[in-house]
Amino acid sequence: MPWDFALPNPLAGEADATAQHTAAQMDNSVFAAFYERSARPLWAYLVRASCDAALADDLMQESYVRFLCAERAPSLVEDGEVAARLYLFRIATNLLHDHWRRPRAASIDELPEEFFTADSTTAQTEAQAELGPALLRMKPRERQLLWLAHAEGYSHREIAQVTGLAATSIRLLLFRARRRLARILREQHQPAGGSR
Amino acid sequence: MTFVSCNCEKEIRELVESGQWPLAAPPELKSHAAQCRTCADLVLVATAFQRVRATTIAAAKPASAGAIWWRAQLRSRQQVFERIQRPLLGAQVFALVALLLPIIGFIAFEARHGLAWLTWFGKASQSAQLHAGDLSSSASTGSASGLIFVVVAAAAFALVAGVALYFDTERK
Repeated sequence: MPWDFALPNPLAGEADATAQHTAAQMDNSVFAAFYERSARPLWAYLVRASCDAALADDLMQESYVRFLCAERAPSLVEDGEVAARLYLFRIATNLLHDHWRRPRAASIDELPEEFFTADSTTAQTEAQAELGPALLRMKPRERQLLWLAHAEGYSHREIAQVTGLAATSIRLLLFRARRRLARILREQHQPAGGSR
Repeated sequence: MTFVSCNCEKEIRELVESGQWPLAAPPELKSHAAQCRTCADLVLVATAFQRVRATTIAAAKPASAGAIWWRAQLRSRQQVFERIQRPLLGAQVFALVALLLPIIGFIAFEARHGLAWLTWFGKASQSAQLHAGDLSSSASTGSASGLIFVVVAAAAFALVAGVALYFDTERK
């Protein structure tokens, strides 16, 4: 569907020429197909990392807009969908970090867990699920790492690309996060037990 | 917390992510996972995440791709427009500075050489107070100063016109 009719066209020649390097680089139908395949996993990542469905909606849309406008974004045709998807997740992760930094000038790891337990219906629904309460007890960065590793199946190198952390530290961070979550999950199943 | 790695991690992870754990897993691997703390954690966490991923993705209701595309196009053009505006603004500022510099230089030159045109103002005001009829004779004696006055007036007009043009362009 052409959208140009609804858009202002300032300095027509230059605008169109520059747009070829960004948004128009990707054909509308190619983008629609890519969006169809990647939007749901991206939303799932954002909603599980932030525990806020409304925020996930906003950040997902903003991630795609920035992806389309970015001049250095990987091309779907030349670089492949995996690279494009990693870049998209990287944008989303940065947006999440920006959002977490905005209200308080503290590191995201120092923010209280109550901040992330948004009073949204999704969070309440999650609380009834198996993993929801356990995830709420994890730090945001741990949730991100665990989701990227075990839900998206990314390698340590890919997680490093998405999160901006050093690839060498991913392994240890992931190990600690996984052990902590496993302990919480076991505690949920055996509240009175002394499992380690 | 001591970091403990296990050689079976990769194999177990692949089986879980492909949805083949535990049905397609070899019995020895399953027994190992039951004994190894690292692999047990991996199985517990990875299977939970796989289940949650499926339910979360099913619950997702993303906006239409066309709306996202439209927003991106709009922002892209806005960025291009801002990029083009920047040198234009620079050129306008440069033109204003180029206009102001000669005027300031002229005023400085005149100030250094005795402010001859200011004395003309003094004479004119004195003569106006004394005799209105003598004003013409006073002006005729200061013909050189009158020329300077015209130049200053023209410069002031050019300055005001330049500033007005600048703000008009900025507004548009």
